[in-house]
Amino acid sequence: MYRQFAEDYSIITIHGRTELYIENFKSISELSGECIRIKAARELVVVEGSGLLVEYMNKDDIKIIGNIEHIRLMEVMR
Amino acid sequence: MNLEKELKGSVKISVCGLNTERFINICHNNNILLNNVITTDNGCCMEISVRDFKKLKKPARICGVRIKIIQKDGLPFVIHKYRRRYFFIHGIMIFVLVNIIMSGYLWRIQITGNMHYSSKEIINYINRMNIHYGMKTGRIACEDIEAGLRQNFDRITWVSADVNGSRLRINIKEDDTGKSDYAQTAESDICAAEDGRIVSIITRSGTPIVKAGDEVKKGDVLVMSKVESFNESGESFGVRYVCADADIITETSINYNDSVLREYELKEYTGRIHTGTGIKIGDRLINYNVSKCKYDNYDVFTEYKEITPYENMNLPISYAYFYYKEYNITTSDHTDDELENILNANLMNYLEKIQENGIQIIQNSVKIDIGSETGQASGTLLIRTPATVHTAPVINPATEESEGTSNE
Repeated sequence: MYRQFAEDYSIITIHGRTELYIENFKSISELSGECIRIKAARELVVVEGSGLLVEYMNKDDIKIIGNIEHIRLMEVMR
Repeated sequence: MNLEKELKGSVKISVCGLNTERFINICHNNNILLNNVITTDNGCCMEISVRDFKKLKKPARICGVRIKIIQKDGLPFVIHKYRRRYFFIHGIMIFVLVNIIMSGYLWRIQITGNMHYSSKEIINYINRMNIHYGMKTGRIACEDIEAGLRQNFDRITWVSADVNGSRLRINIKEDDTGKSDYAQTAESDICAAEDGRIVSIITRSGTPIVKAGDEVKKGDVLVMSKVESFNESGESFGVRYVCADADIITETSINYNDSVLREYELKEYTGRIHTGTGIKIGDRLINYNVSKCKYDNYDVFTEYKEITPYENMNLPISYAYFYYKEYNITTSDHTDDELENILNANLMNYLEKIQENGIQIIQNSVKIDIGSETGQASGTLLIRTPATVHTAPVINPATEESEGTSNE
């Protein structure tokens, strides 16, 4: 059941306004200091702010740091 | 600082081109770890390990991006930089190797908790057990050391020995109840150590032969080890031998003689000092100074500075510092007062010294006589001394009927 959950959903963790973790993501759609768009399992996560950067990125998760102002979850057209 | 990152090495790269996001996604799909991805005007910068950097060729070709190395960090690059400095690298390798090899040998003996026995005494005993500096720590039998110390040092009640790296730690607990090492346990008589008169006698065990007021000579038995038991009718029914024990004070007189010449040589240091250095290897002293001291009269003071890498580890090599102090000799005469003061001081020193040994001075009849050439102090001292000696009993206990050796 957990495996099914892990494949179908992404886990998004935010620490204050400076750190954001996304587990089980697929790819990066846009990358800039002001906006980072990440394709998660079922939605598109849009992180907006200033001084954004990807601290690390591996097969399982990604960590974004910077001054985060907005986080939007958008439907992905399947 | 990430140690793993430093050991494996990392490179900071700049990725230029239109499809940098695609490049990052391909890296992600190929399980390439990217760190600190920052966007720049014409692409992005990121940090990547050396191993992953070699996998970037294919993604870069697919996405049409250009990769440029900005910075290199980590041990692989340091090694590459100094690859031609053979002596430096070999020196480091030899240093590490020597350290590894030397850590398997004994270089330090640490003794704690000893109050009565000196560390040197214990180390000398350990050396006699064939445990010495420079031996392999694996050959040290700590149990043997513990057993040996307990057996040979009476005051040690508890001891633990363990090897910690290249150090042998010995922790000792001593019996501090004041038990003497030389406590008599076997049957023995108490005899007089000097001629004199018995002042007091308090017997704890054994049969006293003398009483207070008796005159005794040196070697006379004062307390016998033989103890007879009597029944109600006063008949002896058994003999046993004990270790005689008694507090005996004997009054005796001793002669005191001292003389000092009136004429004396006075040594006056001029303040001129000639110094020199040398080295002492074992018992041999080597003086570096080729030109010896040119003073006519001088005293040589030698100061040794031992080379001690560790607390108790003394190498047989020590530095020697020689100080040649020049002096002039002048002949002079003591005045009568000076002679009297010197003789008095000598007498006081003598009295203090004998009083330290528990001797009580009852009467002092020493007289000082000042002559034209010498000053003399002579006379007798009446003292009270507890000095006695233990000797083997006169009668062999094996020939007598014995009921045991207990004094109770």
